[in-house]
Amino acid sequence: MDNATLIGLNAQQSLRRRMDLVANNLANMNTTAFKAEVALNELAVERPSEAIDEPNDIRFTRIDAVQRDMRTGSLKLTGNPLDLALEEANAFFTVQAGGDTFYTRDGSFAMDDLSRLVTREGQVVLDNAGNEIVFDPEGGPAQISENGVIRQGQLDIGQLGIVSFDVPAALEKVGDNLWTPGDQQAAEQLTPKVRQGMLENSNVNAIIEMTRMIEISRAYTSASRLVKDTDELRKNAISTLGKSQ
Amino acid sequence: MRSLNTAATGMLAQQLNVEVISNNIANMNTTGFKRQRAEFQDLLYMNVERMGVTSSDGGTIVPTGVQVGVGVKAGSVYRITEQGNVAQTANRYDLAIQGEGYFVIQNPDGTNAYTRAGNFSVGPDGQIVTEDGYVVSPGIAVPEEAIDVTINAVGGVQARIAGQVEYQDLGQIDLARFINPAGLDAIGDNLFLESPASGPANLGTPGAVGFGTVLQGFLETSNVNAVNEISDLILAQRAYEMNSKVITTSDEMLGVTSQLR
Repeated sequence: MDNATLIGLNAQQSLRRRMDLVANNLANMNTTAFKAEVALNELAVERPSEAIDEPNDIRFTRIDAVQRDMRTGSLKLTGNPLDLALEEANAFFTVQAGGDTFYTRDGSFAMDDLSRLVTREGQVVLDNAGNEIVFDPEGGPAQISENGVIRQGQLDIGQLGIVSFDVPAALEKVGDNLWTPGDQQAAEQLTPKVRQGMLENSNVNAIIEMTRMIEISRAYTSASRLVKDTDELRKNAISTLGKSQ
Repeated sequence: MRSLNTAATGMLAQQLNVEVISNNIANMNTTGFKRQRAEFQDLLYMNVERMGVTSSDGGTIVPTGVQVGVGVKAGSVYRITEQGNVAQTANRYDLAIQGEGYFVIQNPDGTNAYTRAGNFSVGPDGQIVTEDGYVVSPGIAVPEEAIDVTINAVGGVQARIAGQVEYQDLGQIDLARFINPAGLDAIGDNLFLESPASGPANLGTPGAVGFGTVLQGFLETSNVNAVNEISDLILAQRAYEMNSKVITTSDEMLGVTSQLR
């Protein structure tokens, strides 16, 4: 096959994947503490298989990595005392589900029937020593300070286990707003700037995503043209050269 | 194309969002109504290229990998149990709770229901009942010859009987508290039932530690904030539109492919 056709197909494949990412960003426009993602392309330079003289490099494109925008989304007042937002971008709550530890920035917590602090899915939120946080059901409203210390009246309930990572963007998303650390080590975040009664919005910028989508769609059409034109070129060549004999 | 499905999950999520918002707006004037909020979560991710793998002979490590998400789902719809405003009604059987707690209502089947809506009245047999005629626990009967009934902040019900000077004690209205009031099971008619998530009801006198106080002649209004709801509605509508645009664009891209021949 012609190299031009291959390059066109390669471009289309990569554009489809970019489109998948845009679709996921837009679908998660209202997801609490969602972080927008964009694909990073890299050049994959290849030599043509049959180089006769002065071979030119063929520049394929390849999606190399997904870049995450880790900036803090806008904070929204909800009026729910157990809704927590983290103003510091590199800060994650620690939660436990099925014996595994996960990290999340979605701080829409609740109390369960055992008066523990849990996520909306019922996963237990851990304190800075890795233990459950248990409220006193009779203790009245909880006050949560900027560094995550929970107080009920005069009683200290514990301090939220809030951690940071060297490269937060390299954490692995596992869905349900949860992240796993991969091979990174969690370190205690000392200045998480916890905001009580607020939630972090998704940081997807709709305008950017829409323009990105238009760009992808146009690029896809022109890549498709490239394939079609190459096809046309070959067709013409066959008919012209075929006649000449 | 995966983006078609992803955008479809986005549209479904926004649809639920609009449903929740419209229910809030519809109940803007419902006594004791607590607004709800839909909360979303991302769906699972496909690891196209895992993070940490070596990408070249030189030993370059892929730092972040390529993870492609497949959309969004509704995480939960939860009630925000913020105190609503109290509005004066001057009706002597209208009660508002200031602070935590629920009135205990006896269902006809003998079980208990709980409510924040204190628009009570007196039933045919003199008992204090709800709008629907369900007895307010513990079933306080107001004598026919009572000319005035007062209900104080700690739930004590007293009546002045015609011809008497002293007020007569009729009974005591207790409140119920839950560890997790957001986990109560709403059954309509402003009533809630106990659920495993809410924990068992904890009865107590109004004004005791952790319990709110009772205010006679007032009703708690709904805690829906119209301005917030409308701006949320606009956001939800636009998000819905943008997701439908993703579907259109994906469709166009597929169309272009099919014209390749």
